[in-house]
Amino acid sequence: MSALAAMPPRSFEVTPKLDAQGEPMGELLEISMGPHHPSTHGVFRMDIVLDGEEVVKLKPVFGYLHRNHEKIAEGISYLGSMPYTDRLDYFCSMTNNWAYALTIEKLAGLTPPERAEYIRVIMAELTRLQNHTSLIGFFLQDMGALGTPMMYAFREREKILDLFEAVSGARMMCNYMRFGGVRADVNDAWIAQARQLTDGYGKFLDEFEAFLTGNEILLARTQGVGTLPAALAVNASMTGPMLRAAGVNYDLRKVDKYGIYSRFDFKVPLGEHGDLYDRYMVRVLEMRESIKILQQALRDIPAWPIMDPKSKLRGFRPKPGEVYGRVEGPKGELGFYVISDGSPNPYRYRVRPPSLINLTLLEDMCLGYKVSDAVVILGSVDIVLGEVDR
Amino acid sequence: MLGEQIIRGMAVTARNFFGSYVSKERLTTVQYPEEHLPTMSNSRQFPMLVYDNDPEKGLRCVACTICEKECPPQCIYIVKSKDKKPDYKGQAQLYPAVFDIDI
Repeated sequence: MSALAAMPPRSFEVTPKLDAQGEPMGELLEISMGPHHPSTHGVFRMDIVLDGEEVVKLKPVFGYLHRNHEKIAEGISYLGSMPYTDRLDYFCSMTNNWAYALTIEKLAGLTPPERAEYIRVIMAELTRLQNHTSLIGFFLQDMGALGTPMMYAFREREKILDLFEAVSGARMMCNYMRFGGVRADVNDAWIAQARQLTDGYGKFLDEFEAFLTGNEILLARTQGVGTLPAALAVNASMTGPMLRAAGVNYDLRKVDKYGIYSRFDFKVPLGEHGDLYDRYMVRVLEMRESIKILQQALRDIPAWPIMDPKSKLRGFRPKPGEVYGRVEGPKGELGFYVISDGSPNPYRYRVRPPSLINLTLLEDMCLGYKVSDAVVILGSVDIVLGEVDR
Repeated sequence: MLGEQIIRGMAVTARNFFGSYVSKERLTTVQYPEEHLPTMSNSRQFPMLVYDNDPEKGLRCVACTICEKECPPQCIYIVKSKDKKPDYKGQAQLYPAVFDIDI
């Protein structure tokens, strides 16, 4: 790509600004934000070098929440890692489950039945709804709108978590998908409840947008702040709403058409400038598209069965081989890379977390802005530290 | 007009605030220690041994130790019983002499 070559190399030397006589106007100040800082969404540290109030250098430091997920998975059975994938990105355990189940299904050659595919799509889109809703709440809280938007977001998220609990037995740690299907079936009452929620969600989004979208303070804080050029985002292999806000049309639901996404009619919202406002707006529009997918899926869902008869839960030994499976999670491309040597445990297990890779360009987004903008830019990346550090 | 949208947003806040006095949809919290939300029927809470009516005759666990082997964090500890006890059908069944979950 010629656009990539056109990016000028950045100098890593930082010096204070000079006045008219060529003398430095002040000294640089290095501050360490985090790991215990309310704006960093967990245990995450930013080493910031400031010139006055302006960020001239920023180094993200992570690893405080490392839990050895990949090595643990090499020591236990394939199914044993399924509950651990819930703990990667604890907001979206359903899509994490799906990504892992999809990978192992590719490896073992299993095909989930129709109803299981539909249930997976419903769960993934509900996850996207609740993730984006609560993200916008957190984003506004980073901006200083303490409480109110987040409480409205959490009020709606609670209804979706109730649906998850009714079907999987847990609100956040769902542990719901299995290789070749899903663990428990949904009943008609659940589907009716999900349909009611889906139909009412558009009304909530209208209210939420009346509350936020035109707000002058939000516009002043977000428009033109934290701009990320599309070429740079592609270069850093960013995915998800961050990439689409920069105007790159890349959605794995359209590119890979995994599962049954080719059957649904939906659009991929794109941003234009790649600033914070575009990232906010792309997420709102994505939720509206998710509602469309949910309405189609809840209308078309077929009957029994929910498990591939070839799949077995205990004594599962896939044939040797290597496989990479990926889904479009709410935060971006979530991939699992697994090598099997024919034993009950994976030989190598690797997660491609969207949060970590979207975080790598934090410095390029923050340079030249104030500290308070750096906090909001970090909020717009949508990180969950459970997934960044694994 | 500058600030028009802020006032529009405040109207939403006001609608939610006053609505919480009249509408069940906008008042979603409960007074916790006095009131509880009902637990879902298949909610996964603290794991325990299940029995039907009688804790000895109706005990469903036969100490097969599959859960001990499959448990991902390996926190279940089971010791099989030496003897067998009759269940409701009168069949002799093993039971766990020790069943411990180290949470």
